[in-house]
Amino acid sequence: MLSGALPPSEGRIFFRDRDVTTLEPYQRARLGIARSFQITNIFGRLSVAENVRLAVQAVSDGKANFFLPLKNARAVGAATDRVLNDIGLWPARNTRAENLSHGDQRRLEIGLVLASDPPVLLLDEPLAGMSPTETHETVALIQRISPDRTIMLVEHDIDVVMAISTTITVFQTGAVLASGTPEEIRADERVQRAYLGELA
Amino acid sequence: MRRILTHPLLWTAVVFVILPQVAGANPFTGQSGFVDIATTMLIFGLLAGGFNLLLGHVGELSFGHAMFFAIGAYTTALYVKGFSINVFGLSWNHDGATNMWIALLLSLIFVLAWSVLLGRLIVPRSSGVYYSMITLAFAQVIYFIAFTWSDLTHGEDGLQGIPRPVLPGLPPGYLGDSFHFYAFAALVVFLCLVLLYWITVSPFGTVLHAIRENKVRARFLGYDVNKYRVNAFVLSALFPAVAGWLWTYYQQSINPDASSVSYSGNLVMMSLLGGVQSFFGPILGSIVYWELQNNISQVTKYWEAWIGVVFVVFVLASPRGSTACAASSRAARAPRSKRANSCRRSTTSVRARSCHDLRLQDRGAHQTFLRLHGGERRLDRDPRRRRAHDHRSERRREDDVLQLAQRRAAPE
Repeated sequence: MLSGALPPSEGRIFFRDRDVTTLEPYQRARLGIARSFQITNIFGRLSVAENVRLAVQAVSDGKANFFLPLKNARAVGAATDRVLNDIGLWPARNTRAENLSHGDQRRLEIGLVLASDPPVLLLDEPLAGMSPTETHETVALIQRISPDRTIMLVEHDIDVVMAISTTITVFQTGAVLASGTPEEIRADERVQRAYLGELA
Repeated sequence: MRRILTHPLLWTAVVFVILPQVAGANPFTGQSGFVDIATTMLIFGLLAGGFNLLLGHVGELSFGHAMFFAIGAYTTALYVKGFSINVFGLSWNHDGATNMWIALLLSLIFVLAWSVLLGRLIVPRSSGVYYSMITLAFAQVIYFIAFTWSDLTHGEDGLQGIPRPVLPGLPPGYLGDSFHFYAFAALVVFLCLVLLYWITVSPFGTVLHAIRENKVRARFLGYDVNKYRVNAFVLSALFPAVAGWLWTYYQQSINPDASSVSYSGNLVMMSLLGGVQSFFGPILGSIVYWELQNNISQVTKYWEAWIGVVFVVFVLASPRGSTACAASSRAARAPRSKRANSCRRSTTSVRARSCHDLRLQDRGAHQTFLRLHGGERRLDRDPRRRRAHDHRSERRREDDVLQLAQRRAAPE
């Protein structure tokens, strides 16, 4: 709903005092709301660098231009290199995205979101299907990028959520159950009941 | 240096120089080539190249691209020959003119207007089979207008007796010579192909590739996917307009067949014969098609059936066309390190298939495991596994919901 994939049945969504309820996903992306996908959603038959460059280009000026000025192209290239380094895929930049390992694909997924340097990131289970090592690296990556921006993270790995969040909102069957700091959530009885059962 | 030597435009130029010597030649009968067929190859190469901007780069099959060819051709013919029509009491007279550049400009303007209208109307509302069918339907509309509006188009006979254009600084009749006209057409086609190449490697072209690969992702990155699709549609219509303009002057006549299903279908065939993923593919496809047509039609009047057979064999043997065939054999010859980097679908599709088999086998093994160890219950007893299992099925549900919503939000 926040990224524009689903229309809300009621209510309105505001982003920086601007009503974005009816905006298309691409318009929201340009405003600076970037999202990643739970199922890896990348351009499989393009190279890693092309994937990232597309994401950078999406928010740069003159994106629909055949005659992209060289200066601008250099800026896009520099931003692409920066993102590739951030996500640690610089050595694999010429590999086809579909040939990357699952963990690397997940990292590229996050890289695509990062590329536009958005103030708001919506990460949908960035750790899904990762090995412990990959999880560790990705958590480090998320922590590295978090100081300058708002990140909204949907995740099932409770340890990770507890470790990196500032505010946690717990949902149960579509309704908000509790919202607060990690400590508050940890102490919340309702959350414990909902997730661990009556006996816990 | 290597990059220059393997540049597709260089090869295109080389082929254009050699083509008039060899086109239509048959080594078995010893018959020599002739220039006219080479000109046909070029013009259809340009037509297929423009068409392939959609098929190869956006991944959309327009089954009516010949209509833009026909509109360009008829515009040129009518401008040169002149016409006198009476529509709803309004009469319009045009005496005919000779300036070939104005004819080109008018062709482009008419095709631009029509493709913008059509693109805005149909592209955001359709994709896949519906896209192909609706473009085909509009091509038929153009065909029947050309067929039935006799006052303007002379119906089935078409417009005939269109003189070859006169180039400034050259004597009149200079382009009447087959070889001179070939040179002129080669120059025009080559310039168009340079433009086409530029488009495919530009940032715009890369976005088209992104749309081909993953529309949803492109949209969430911030690209107005439908706008790009419409723009690509319009651009790919303009190249056939130029081809139509050349074709009218080359044939010195034009008839409604230019917008027929078989012309549109031939474009698909040429692109697939040559390979949709490569720049040179459609041009090669056009050359192969006309070469076959020319040689087989001398032997039997059922030549189209034989071209069909060749096409079927070709598609079965190499789904990505002859240029891909050459590329994959090149990849096979390359040293191992290079092979890993060579981006060829043929190798990856094999890999994907084996992965899929592996997964199936894995699932089979898993079931065997369950059967051996007392069914699902055992799985359920392990809490970690149970959680993973629940999580997976939940994920699948969520994904289904998301996909459904995306489909509803963006009717494709």
